[in-house]
Amino acid sequence: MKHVMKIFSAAIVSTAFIGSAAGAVSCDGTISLTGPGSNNIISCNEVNNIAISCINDVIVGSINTQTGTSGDGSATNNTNGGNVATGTVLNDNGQNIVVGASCETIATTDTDAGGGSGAADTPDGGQGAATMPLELPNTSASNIMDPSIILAILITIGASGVLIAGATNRRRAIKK
Amino acid sequence: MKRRLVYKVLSLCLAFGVIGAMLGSPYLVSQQPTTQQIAPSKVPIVEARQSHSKISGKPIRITVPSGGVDLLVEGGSYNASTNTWKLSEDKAMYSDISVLPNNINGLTFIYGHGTDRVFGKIGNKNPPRGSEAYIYTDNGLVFTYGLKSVQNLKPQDTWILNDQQVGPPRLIIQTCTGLFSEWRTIFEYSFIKVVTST
Repeated sequence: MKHVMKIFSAAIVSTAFIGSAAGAVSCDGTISLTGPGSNNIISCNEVNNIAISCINDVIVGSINTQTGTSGDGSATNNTNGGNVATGTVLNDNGQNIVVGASCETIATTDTDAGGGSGAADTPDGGQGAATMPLELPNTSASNIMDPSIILAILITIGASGVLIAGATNRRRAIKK
Repeated sequence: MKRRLVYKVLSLCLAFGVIGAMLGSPYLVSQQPTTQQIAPSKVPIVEARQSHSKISGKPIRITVPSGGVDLLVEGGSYNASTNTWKLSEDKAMYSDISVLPNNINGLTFIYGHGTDRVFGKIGNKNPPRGSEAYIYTDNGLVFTYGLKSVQNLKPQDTWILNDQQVGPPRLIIQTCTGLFSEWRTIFEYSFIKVVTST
C-alpha cells in the first residue's frame, strides 16, 4: 500500500503600489501679442493621484490517495523447494499544478454560478436552479378515458332509463 | 303480464350487464395483475463496475420484473406556470429536475400513470421488499436497485423531492393509486450496482 498525501499550499499575497505619482504634466497654452507692455501668463496645475491595491490569495490543496494490494502466494507439493513470489504493486502518481497571479484586470463572466473563475458544477439533471413543484405528478388513471368506463356509464344510464320507464308504465297499468 | 315479464327480464339483463362492466373495469375494482414476469433482456454483462468515480447515464428503459413492468422512459418536466407534469400514456417519465441514475449520490425520480400500460400493475399489487428494478441508460449501463419501502403520500407531499442532489444513490418510482387516484404511491429503491452491457 502506498499512500501519498500531498498538500500543496501556495499563498501569494501581493499588496503594492499605494502612493501617488505626479504624471507628466502637459499643459497647452498660447502666448501671443508679446512685446512691450504685454503680460502673458500661463498657469498649469495638474495633479494625478493613483492608488492601486492588488491582493491575490491563492490556496491550492491536493490529496491523492492510492492503494494497491499484491495477490496471495501459495505453493503446494514443494518438497524440493522453490520460490513463491507475489506480484509487484506499482503506483504512479503525478500532478501538475500551475498557479498564476496577476494584478491586471481579470475578465469575468457574469454567470449564476458565480465565482468569476472556474467551471460551474451543474447538477446531473442539467439545471442549475430547478423550480420545486407544488404537487407530485398527477399520474391518475382517470385522466385516460378507458372504453370499459365509458361502456359502464352508458349501460348504467340505459338501465336506469328502462327501469324508470317500466315503473312508470306499471303505475299507469295499475291506475287503469 | 307479458309486458311486466319483459321488463323484469330486461332489467335483470341490464343489471347484470352493469355489474359485469363494473367488475371488468380496472379503475373501479382492482384488477389482479398478471403474474407473468418480464425478465430484463438478456444483455451480456462484460464488466461489473464498483467504482468510486461517478458513472451515470440518461435512462431510456425501466423494468420491474416482479411487477411485470417493462417500459421505455422519456424525459419528464414540471411546468411551474400550470403546476403540471409532462406525462405519457404508455411510457415512464424521468423527472429532469432529479439526478441521473448514478453510483454516487442523489435521487432519480421516475413517474408514470397508474394504468396497466404503465405502473398500474405495481400500484395494484406492490412488489415485495427487496425485489429489484433495473434502469437502462443511453450509454449502455444497467443500474440495479432494490425496493426498500412503499408509501402513500398526498399530492402536496413534495418534500419527497427535497435534497435530490444529496444522499446515497436511490430511485423513486411514483404512480397514482386509490379509488379516485388520490394517493401518490412512492416506491423507494436503494442502489445496488451498475454494470455495462453491450
